[in-house]
Amino acid sequence: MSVTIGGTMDRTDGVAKVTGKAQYGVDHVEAGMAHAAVVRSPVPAGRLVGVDVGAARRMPEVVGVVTAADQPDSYGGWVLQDQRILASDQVRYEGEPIAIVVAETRAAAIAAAAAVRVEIEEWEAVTMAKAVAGEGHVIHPDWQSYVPTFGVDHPRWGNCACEVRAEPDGVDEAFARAAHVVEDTFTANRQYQAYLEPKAATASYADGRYILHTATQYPFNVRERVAQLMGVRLSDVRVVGKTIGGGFGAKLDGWVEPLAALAARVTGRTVQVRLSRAEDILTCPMRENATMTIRTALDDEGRMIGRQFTCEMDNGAYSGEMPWLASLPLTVIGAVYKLHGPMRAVCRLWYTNTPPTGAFRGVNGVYLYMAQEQHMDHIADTLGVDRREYRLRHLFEDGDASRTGQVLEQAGILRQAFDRLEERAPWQEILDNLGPNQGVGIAAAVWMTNPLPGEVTIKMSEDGTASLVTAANDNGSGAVSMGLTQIVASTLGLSEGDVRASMPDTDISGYDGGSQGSRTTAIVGTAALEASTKVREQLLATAAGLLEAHVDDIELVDGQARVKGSPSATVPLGQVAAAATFTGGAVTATSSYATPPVPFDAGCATGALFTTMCTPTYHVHLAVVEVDDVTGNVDVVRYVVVQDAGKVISPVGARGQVQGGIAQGIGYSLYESQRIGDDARLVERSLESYRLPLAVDIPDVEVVFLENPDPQTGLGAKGIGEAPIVLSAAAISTAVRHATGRTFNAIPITPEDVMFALQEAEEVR
Amino acid sequence: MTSNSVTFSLNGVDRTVDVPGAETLLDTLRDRLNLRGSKEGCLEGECGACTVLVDDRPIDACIYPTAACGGRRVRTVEGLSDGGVPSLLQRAMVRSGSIQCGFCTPGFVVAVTALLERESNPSRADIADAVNGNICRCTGYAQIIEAVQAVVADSLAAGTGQEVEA
Amino acid sequence: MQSPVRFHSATTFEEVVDALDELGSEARLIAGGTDVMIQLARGELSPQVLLHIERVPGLGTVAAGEGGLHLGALVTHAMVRSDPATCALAALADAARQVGGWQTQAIGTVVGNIVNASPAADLTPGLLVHDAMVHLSRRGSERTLPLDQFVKGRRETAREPQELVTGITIAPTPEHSGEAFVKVGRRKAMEVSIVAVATRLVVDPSTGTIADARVAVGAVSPIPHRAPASEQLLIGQRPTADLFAAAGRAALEGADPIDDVRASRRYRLAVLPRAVAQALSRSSDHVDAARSVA
Ligand SMILES: Cc1cc2nc3c(=O)[nH]c(=O)nc-3n(C[C@H](O)[C@H](O)[C@H](O)COP(=O)(O)OP(=O)(O)OC[C@H]3O[C@@H](n4cnc5c(N)ncnc54)[C@H](O)[C@@H]3O)c2cc1C
Repeated sequence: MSVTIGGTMDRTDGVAKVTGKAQYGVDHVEAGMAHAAVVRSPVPAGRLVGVDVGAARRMPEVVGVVTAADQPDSYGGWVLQDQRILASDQVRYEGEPIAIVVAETRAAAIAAAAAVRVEIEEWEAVTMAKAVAGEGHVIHPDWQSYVPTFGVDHPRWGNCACEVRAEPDGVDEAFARAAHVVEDTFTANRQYQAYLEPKAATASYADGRYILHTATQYPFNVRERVAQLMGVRLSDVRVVGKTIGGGFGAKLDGWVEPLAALAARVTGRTVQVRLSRAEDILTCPMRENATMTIRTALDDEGRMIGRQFTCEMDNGAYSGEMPWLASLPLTVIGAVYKLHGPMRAVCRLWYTNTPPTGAFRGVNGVYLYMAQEQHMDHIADTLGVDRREYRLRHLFEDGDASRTGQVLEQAGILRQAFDRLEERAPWQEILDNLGPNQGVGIAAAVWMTNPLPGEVTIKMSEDGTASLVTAANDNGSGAVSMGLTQIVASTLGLSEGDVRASMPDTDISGYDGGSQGSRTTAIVGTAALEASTKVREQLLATAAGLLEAHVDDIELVDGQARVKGSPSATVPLGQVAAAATFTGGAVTATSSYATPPVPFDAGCATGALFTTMCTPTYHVHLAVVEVDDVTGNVDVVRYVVVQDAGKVISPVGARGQVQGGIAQGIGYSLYESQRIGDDARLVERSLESYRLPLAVDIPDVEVVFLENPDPQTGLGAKGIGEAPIVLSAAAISTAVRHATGRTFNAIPITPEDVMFALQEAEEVR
Repeated sequence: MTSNSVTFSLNGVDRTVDVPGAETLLDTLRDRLNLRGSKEGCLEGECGACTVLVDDRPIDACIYPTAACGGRRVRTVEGLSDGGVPSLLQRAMVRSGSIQCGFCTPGFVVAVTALLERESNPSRADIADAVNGNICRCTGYAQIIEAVQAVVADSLAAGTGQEVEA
Repeated sequence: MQSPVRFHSATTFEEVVDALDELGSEARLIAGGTDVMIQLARGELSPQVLLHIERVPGLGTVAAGEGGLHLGALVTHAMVRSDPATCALAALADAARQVGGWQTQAIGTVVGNIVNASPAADLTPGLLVHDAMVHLSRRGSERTLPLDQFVKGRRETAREPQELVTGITIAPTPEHSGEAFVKVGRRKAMEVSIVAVATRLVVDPSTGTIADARVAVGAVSPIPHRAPASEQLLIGQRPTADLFAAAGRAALEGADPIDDVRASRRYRLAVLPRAVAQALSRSSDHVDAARSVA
């Protein structure tokens, strides 16, 4: 049976995964492979005085020990080149790699790593609070010499890794004439991506090239990072993808791959680096912790007429992709709801002696929307207006612009979403039926689809099946194993089993922007539609000859070419493909696609590297929570999502993205504390104390998709995967606020916060 | 003297291994016996990705000693399909969106198989309870639970009542 | 990491007591291993021998006898939550149901739970409420200790290195009683208790007053313990919400919780009275339910 777009299909990697046959990064084996263990800094900050590897070298089965003296004198980094593979003169975070021990077995490597003696003169660590206050040592004394990867530098100095400033005229005037001023301060913890497969990479070096097998979300980015850090050309590195055991942003950059590459180069062996869970937690580029202040001026009609926003974000010890994210607040705060006046914004990213932070699904959107929506509740309460009503009154409409000057042509979808939510979960009815200790929250957002390019090659085999060759990879979402497969199969009249997707390989496929920002189905899917349409045309032309009919009269169905309306005039696709191949050469086509740049106001701010939301999507969420007055625990009892999807390609997969995104959002809002102590060390260091939500903690999310196709592409799909998490902290925190009558300014909202608030309320009574 | 020769039935075939006293069943399966379907997720019994059956009981292989398995019956995800042909449960999981990245999937397959071997008609709450020791970071669980419910409904309808084809 | 420990899987009771006699503290007994294996991996234990007892016959049953209900050393949490005799005892069954996940319950033993002597051992409060007695055997002799004398401190018991715990006996449950277990944790499962409470009330049907009250608390001091101040406050009174709240506050006497990564001392102290009151109220409901059935 042919597959259709919007129909259901079994994901093509499903049986391998469910029977235990799928090969993840940690399962990779090569002949002659040795194992590495990483010697890490036991302290967050200090001068590296000495590394004694003598004893380790003499341990059984040790192949070699690699130290900073063995690494090339080159720097790397996604946005700013501020890191090396191994710490040399200074350690900048607890867990930073100092040496790599390579041995015949993993156990031997771990044992020998424990025998490496590291001498460090410990310094007082810089936390974000200290960095913001201008206290502590400069973590990168050479910051001025760091090279921006894309050529354009941004404002930065000392421990400030990036500063973004928007200073339009008229802000002070707006506050001066305000009838009300509402101000809130918020903080957000880090959040650990906690993919189930700890990071791993296997590297070899031969014939002047590095070959890496790794479960990465973004093979071309890993290629770039390894090339930068090893000081070689991009094409000297080949990255081959493995099945990914989850990533959620943390496997976009090269973290373990450069370690494996360096160890392979120095020892001459194929080397596998596999992190334990404890190491993975300690070194993961988590969603950053942040503090925010949001202050809004309101006129006597309750309209927002001016705003001030500040955001301090923790960069950790190295930058990764964070300088980009520093400007994201400009696209979030002041969007969705009309701000009839100027917004002053200062967003700063601070180097600290903590592990580097990075991308996690929804990036800073999760806490920015939490702040904006709690602030909206605060404003509505101040004005004595119903919270939903206030939002509706000030909702963006088609053509309203965000603070970077991006015009949101389809922003009217927001009202559509509120309307659909009202049908599904009528606001007044919910308010009237809330039980004791229950509360409801509502929140709205605009989000994006990452625009980076993707490429697809479709090759027909002479048996009538199609190969789908691309460096886009399936991070688990089903974007390749369902989405792209479905697009190709439906175009060519094939069943899902007759479309075989490749694993990514930077030697084989054209550039792909990685599995990030919900881009794969929308962007690579557009390329897949084009490439398979070209192949379809070749097949139709050949089939027309074989069937002696006009091209326009032929259709491809169920693995056959047939004349429309005459079911007996058919020829199997294999025969068509073979005929085409042997007469005109292989039937193949390649297409690529990237979203065109979106116009914005270049003068909106200084330091802004990330200024627009490409292919924007619109979202409204509602959460009902119940607070346990014995424990202070919060339970999410109902959760409704209305999401603009452009076009739903795979309904089962799309729903899974929403359900899974909300589960991570519930974790972020309520369970997943990742605290950083005053000593700059992580407090939660295992999956026992870092609590991931379980099946019993997560409700069945109600999902309503809106289909407003992307006008720019033939496919019409917009990003789906990232957005669901973006509003969860907003919806849940406003619901808890409603249930308790108290504001919780810190995410996650812990049982302790709630309990102490309940106690306080009792004492007042 | 610190190594133990242990013989156990692994997916129906007797295997003998020589292991250090405290070696975990997970290390033995993955590194000595090259069965890599059981996954290492946490090494402390928190995530369930390494769940296997020892005498029909689901256990975390990452904290269970191989040397305790002498004479016992060990079943892993590889043994729950018929020569690679997925069981009813496995098929339902593929169909219903139970699988995203799939790294936790073997553990869920094993834990749920243990549940279904014990209970013919588990409620939604029973199913959620039975997978408390299994973390899935991708799906948010709903579609996993639905797959199990579908298998239960099918097998009750088919009147077989009891077991899931293994 | 490779550990030089030797593993001995015993198949008879004699083998175990003989080995213990010979090796003493060089041997570490291992049942389900859910505590031992993690402590080994963390380097907290370094025994010469792991003495495995899961295959020793005769230790894995729940049996009603003269002195009460006997739980053998290999009775697991899964058995406690499914055996009809223990199922009837909510202070135990609800605790067993909330130990870790299925994988832990399937092999983790009740005896292992108490011998491990964690301040947060979930079965201990319920066993205290039931006057549990601990049976120990060594080559040639046996002894029995009340549970509150068996657990001596954090990870510390009265067990001699040569002794095997063969089982636990819990006293017969009085008529007109109701019991409950309340566990405080952040998630609904897989939590090391932040506070754990087991309670049992006996209500005199003729007067409607509380004839006997048991309150035991875990995770708020190095040893799970009974809360006599709460118990005394309850006895002779009519069960009411106010009484339970007062008994909850009285449980703070003797509580000296720690600050750790799971919860602060302040939170534990805030939650304890509420959890005790909730457990008492559930116990009281169970008495009523039992009466209405009868
Ligand atoms: C993921 C996970 C979650 C957990 N969650 C909880 C929880 O929620 N609540 C809770 O209370 N516990 C929990 N635990 C701890 C543990 O599961 C329990 O304490 C369990 O009951 C221990 O039983 P076991 O048979 O596994 O003990 P083992 O690890 O085999 O032994 C524990 C201790 O008891 C000794 N011992 C065992 N049997 C005997 C005997 N017959 N005589 C003398 N000494 C003996 C051992 O030498 C050892 O010191 C959890 C553990 C894990 C891994």
